[in-house]
Amino acid sequence: MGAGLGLLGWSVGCSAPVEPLNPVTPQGLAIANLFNLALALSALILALVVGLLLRTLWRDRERPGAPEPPQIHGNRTLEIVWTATPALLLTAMFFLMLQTMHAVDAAVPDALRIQVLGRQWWWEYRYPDLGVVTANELHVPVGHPLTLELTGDDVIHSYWVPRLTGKRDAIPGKWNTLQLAVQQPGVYDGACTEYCGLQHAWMRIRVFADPPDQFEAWVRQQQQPAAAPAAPPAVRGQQVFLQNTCVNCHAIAGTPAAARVGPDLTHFGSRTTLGAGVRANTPDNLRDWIRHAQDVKPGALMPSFDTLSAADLDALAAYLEGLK
Amino acid sequence: MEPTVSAGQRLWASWNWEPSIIGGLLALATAYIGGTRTGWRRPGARAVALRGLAFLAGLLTLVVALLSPLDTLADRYLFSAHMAQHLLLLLVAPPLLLLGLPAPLARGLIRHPLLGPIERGLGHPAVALALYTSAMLGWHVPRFYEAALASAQLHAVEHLTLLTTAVLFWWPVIQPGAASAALDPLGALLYLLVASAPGTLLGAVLTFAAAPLYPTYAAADDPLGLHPLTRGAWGLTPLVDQQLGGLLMWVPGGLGYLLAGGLVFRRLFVAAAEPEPLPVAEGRE
Amino acid sequence: MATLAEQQPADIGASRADVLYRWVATTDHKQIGILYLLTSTGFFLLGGIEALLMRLQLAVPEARLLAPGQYNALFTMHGTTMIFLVVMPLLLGFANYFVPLMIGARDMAFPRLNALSYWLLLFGGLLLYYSFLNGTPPDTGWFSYAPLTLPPYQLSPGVEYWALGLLVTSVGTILTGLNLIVTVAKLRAPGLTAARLPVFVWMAVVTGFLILWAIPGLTAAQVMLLFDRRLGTHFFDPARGGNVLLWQHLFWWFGHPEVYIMALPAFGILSEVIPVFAGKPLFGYAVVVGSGIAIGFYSLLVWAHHMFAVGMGTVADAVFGATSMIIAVPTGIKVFSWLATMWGGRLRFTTAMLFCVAFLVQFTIGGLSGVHFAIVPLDWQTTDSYYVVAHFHYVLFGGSYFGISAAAYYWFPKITGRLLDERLGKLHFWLTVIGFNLTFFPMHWLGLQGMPRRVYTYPDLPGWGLWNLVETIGAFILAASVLVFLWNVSVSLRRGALAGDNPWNAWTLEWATTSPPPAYNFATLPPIRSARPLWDLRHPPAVRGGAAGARPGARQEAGGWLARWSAPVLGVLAFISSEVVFFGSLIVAYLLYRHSTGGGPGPDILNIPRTALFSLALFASSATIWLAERRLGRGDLAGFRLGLLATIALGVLFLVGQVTEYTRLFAEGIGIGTNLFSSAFFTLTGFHGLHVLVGLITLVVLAGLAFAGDIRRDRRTAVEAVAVYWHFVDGVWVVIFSLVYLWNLL
Repeated sequence: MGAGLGLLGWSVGCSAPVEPLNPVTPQGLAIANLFNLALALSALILALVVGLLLRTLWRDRERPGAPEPPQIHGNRTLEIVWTATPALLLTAMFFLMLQTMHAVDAAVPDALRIQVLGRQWWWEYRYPDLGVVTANELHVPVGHPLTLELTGDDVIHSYWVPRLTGKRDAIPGKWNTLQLAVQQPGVYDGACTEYCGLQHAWMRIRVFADPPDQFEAWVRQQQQPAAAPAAPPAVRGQQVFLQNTCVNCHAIAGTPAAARVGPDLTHFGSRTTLGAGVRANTPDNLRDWIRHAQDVKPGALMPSFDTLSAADLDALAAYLEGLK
Repeated sequence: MEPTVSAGQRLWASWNWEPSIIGGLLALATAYIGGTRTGWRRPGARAVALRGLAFLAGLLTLVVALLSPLDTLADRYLFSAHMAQHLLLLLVAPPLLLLGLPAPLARGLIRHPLLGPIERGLGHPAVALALYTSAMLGWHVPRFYEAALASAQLHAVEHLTLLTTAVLFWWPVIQPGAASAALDPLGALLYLLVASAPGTLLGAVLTFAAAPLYPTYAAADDPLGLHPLTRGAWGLTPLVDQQLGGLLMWVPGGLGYLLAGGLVFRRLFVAAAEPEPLPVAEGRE
Repeated sequence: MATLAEQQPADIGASRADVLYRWVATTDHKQIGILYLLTSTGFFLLGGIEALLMRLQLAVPEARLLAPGQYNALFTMHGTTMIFLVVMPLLLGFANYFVPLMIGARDMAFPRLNALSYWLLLFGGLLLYYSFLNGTPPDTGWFSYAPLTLPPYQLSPGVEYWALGLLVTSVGTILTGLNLIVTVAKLRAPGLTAARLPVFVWMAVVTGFLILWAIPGLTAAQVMLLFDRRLGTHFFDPARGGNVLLWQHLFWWFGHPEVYIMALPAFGILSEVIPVFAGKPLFGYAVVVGSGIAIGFYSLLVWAHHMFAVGMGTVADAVFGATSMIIAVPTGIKVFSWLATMWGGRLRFTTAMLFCVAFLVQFTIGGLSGVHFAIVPLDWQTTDSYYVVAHFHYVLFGGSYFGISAAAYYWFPKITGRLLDERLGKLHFWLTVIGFNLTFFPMHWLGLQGMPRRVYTYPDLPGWGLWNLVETIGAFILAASVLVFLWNVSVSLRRGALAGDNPWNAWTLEWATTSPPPAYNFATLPPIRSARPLWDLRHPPAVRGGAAGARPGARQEAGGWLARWSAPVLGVLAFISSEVVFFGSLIVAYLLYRHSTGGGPGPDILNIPRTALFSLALFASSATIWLAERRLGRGDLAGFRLGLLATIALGVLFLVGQVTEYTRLFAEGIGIGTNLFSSAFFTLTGFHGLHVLVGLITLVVLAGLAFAGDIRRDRRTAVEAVAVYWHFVDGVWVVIFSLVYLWNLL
């Protein structure tokens, strides 16, 4: 089956490698090694079964005039063999599994703590030691051990970025942890994998693994309050933001807006997507999102602000996109 | 690294030479040899020897459970070790001892004017099952469990009740000498199935309990200096230890009943491997 | 239905209304079996249409054919329908029709109960589907994890339709399970020892036990869910201290054995069909049966492998991983045994056999990917992605459905008297194989590409659109295969070749009667001297070495342990074992929440001496009913009546005690929703009270019969059955009283 899967993967010719088997963390690598072994063994067993089956299908097919086959009721030796062999294989697998579990779950002392809150239908990230709060897009330093602490704010979610490590549920009333250290700079996508309601499909995850200096810079920028808008449309945009119900849900550090219902927008302009991955973060998409959130992502807690005037909408978008 | 003796060596040295247990085991062995003395030189000595081996294995299991360092760990350090000990007393030693019992001896017991009625009463599957389950569940109620840990006498009573009710429990299944309460294979299968349920439940409760239920194992005192081994090297913090104990009860415990079930199941088919010859008079009975 | 109805000889010349009435009022296991098969085929078409709509929505990235809520309702209903209303009742339908025939019985042990089971299934299913007409279909997934099912996350009554619909079908399923067990235990033909039972019958029995012991976990969870939604309790509400994992444990306690409830009968079908078309006995019969039992037993110990991502801790994860891996061993034994059965045989490639061959390959794939889910770290990567969707469809579609299809071709002639057309059958087979693999194999790859399950749409990532489109095309090929099958059925019913008694040269007892069988099933039975009575008829024993191997012991078993109890008592015992799991689930909830008082009232508010007094009344009633039974046994009708009346009086006294206890608590402002302790307390004791009440009603009926002079010594079994139930109600109270009341003294 592994062979079949691999074949399928490459035959697509569309370049995407099978993701959990192409990991960028030691934890993911431990899993991938075990997975490759399991897939290879599975392929062998499947080949054995199919091979035996094809042989008997061909050789033992009914031919006219063939005598009645010998009536064999069983064979003790064979039965012991096909009980004991899988049992031994599985025992070996069990010990490899223990080893892998240890490699995946082992805690590292000086890991960077990041709290991940699953919420309907977006992710909130908090870096308690750095004083940074952001949403949907996680930035991590390459090479540095990380501890993700997961919980659910409303219902159960599950956090999965296939190239990093296995998934772990974000459960209300419980904290789970994930250990990882990304070894390779890049952008890694994932998604919520526990069905969490209407917009479960659009609760995607994007992880940016930055080289350490770049990460430092990102942190310094995120620690700043939002820069006061300078250009006239953005100044107007800030007023629109503060005068509308935006402030009931969103926070922008450095302004009176401090609500924690929706994503923190202090550095919204530095994010690449909006609506937890539903659209790329461009001014056009942002205007569309503000005006028609319920069409873009029906059921999201963000209402459609379709009563905003075109000028206010442009100003608001200019303001938010300027929050780098 | 260790200047004198390591924790492992201290643990290994901690055999429990409790005279009453040694005496009891010796008495059991003597009684067995006495009861089976006549059998050794008869034809069929191989079966007799096998029985002897089974009985010996049962005795050795008791030695491991009650005298070896497992007992030290069970008494003070690890709930999981205590669970392993109980599993040996409930699921391993009694069937082996009963398998070692020669049929004539068992028949003598069944026909005995005094012991016979007791066998018929306590050995009845329903009674045996009820006693066995109550003993197993009862002793794991934290209050009683802790009381047994605190008092050596009570602890001996605990182990004796577990062992005797387990012998009663296995009696109708192993049925040495076709006891009156013997179950036929289908009945024995169901009996084992029902018996496995309480252990499963207990195991599940212990596995998923959020806090340590038995304070002794969570306590900090460490007279033998074994914590570096148990909590350090083995990683068995009190909660993990309790979880492991629950899982031992649950899964290897379940396997024990399953294995016994498999042997009983085999009995079902032994008689029916070959088709019967046509009876002289055909037709329905 | 009319065409099938006309197949029944008794219906010739009857009016349409008569025919309809005969079907509605039937207690004949064969007609009930047909009703099961027809009803679940109907639901299969509905579930299939739901699947097609989902595949259309997923055919291209970011499609807008369906609204997210509609898609979510469709996958919820698709899963729920296929599991509860299709695969399980299809297999139970075959069991209903063929278990009595295969054991040479006239009918099931409890024919009227059997009819009730079917109608509960139908009405439960209709209740579930009424949610569509109401505009609020359930949309929380077939495992409906809390707290998504609770307000404020889910306000629509879809959850109620889901829970109530399944509660109703579950009761019916439990009754079928116990009916099958008692039927096989009590009604086997002479000579048909346990070691000669057809494997399908064995698997029906194992399935029966799994049904009895697995489903009550779901029932208890659904009861608590409904209480949370309607009575203000907070069993699963994390905001109020409830534990969301309690739902998952109870659900998967049911959910994992459910997989085997859907797989074991299919294993049984293969073990019947493959030997017949290979011309050889099943290889390793005892081992195949034993491995089925082992799978059933172990399936009750592995539920938490559905919860590896929950963070249960390394030890629990590892152990559940190990138990789940262990299941692969008996499953592998079965696959190899089927292969060995074919090996060296004389294979006849009928459509039924082809479906079995495809099953072998596809089920092996599903089984191997199943092992991946048992290996904990691999589960962390693959669970809740499309990899798991691929896996369970290879097991349930590639496995169970193919087994069902094999059974359809194999047994259709017995049910209707006509053979299904083989040419259409082969077309059906190839379309199914191609459609199935096109639909579900790419899902492995998509899962590993990171595509989560249960998404109504997906971003346009490399390869995703292409393979989703391929899957959609595969799904429509599958739909075409179903149409071919339905066409085949309708053509063959009218013009199919006449089957005769035994068209396949098979050897189990159902082929020893006419096709379709008469209402009484068998005029005479052949002698049964092995697992293959009809083979023995064709091969007289002289050929095979004669009477040297006489084994008179084989017949002794019939008079063994099972003979001690009457069928009603066995039925009640089976039912009780199911109730034990239900109460066990409620007790687990109580133990979990015993101290979750939130500063409010806790176990210390209970008045122990007072309850002890009323408990004594209940315990005493066990003695009085035992005395009543003994009096009846001696023919002392007056004594029997007196004993019954005393039992009723004591039972009523106990209920009075409970009612006054409740009113006292209510007066103090303590209700079921006060805190988690009170929720668990009232639920547990309330359900026990309800059981006492039911017991009292049956006792009153018995007393009425006794005073009308309608109970004599020969009707003792009914009294025995009621007495056993009453002892059970007392026994449960011993446990509840100890845990809820006496424990506080410690």
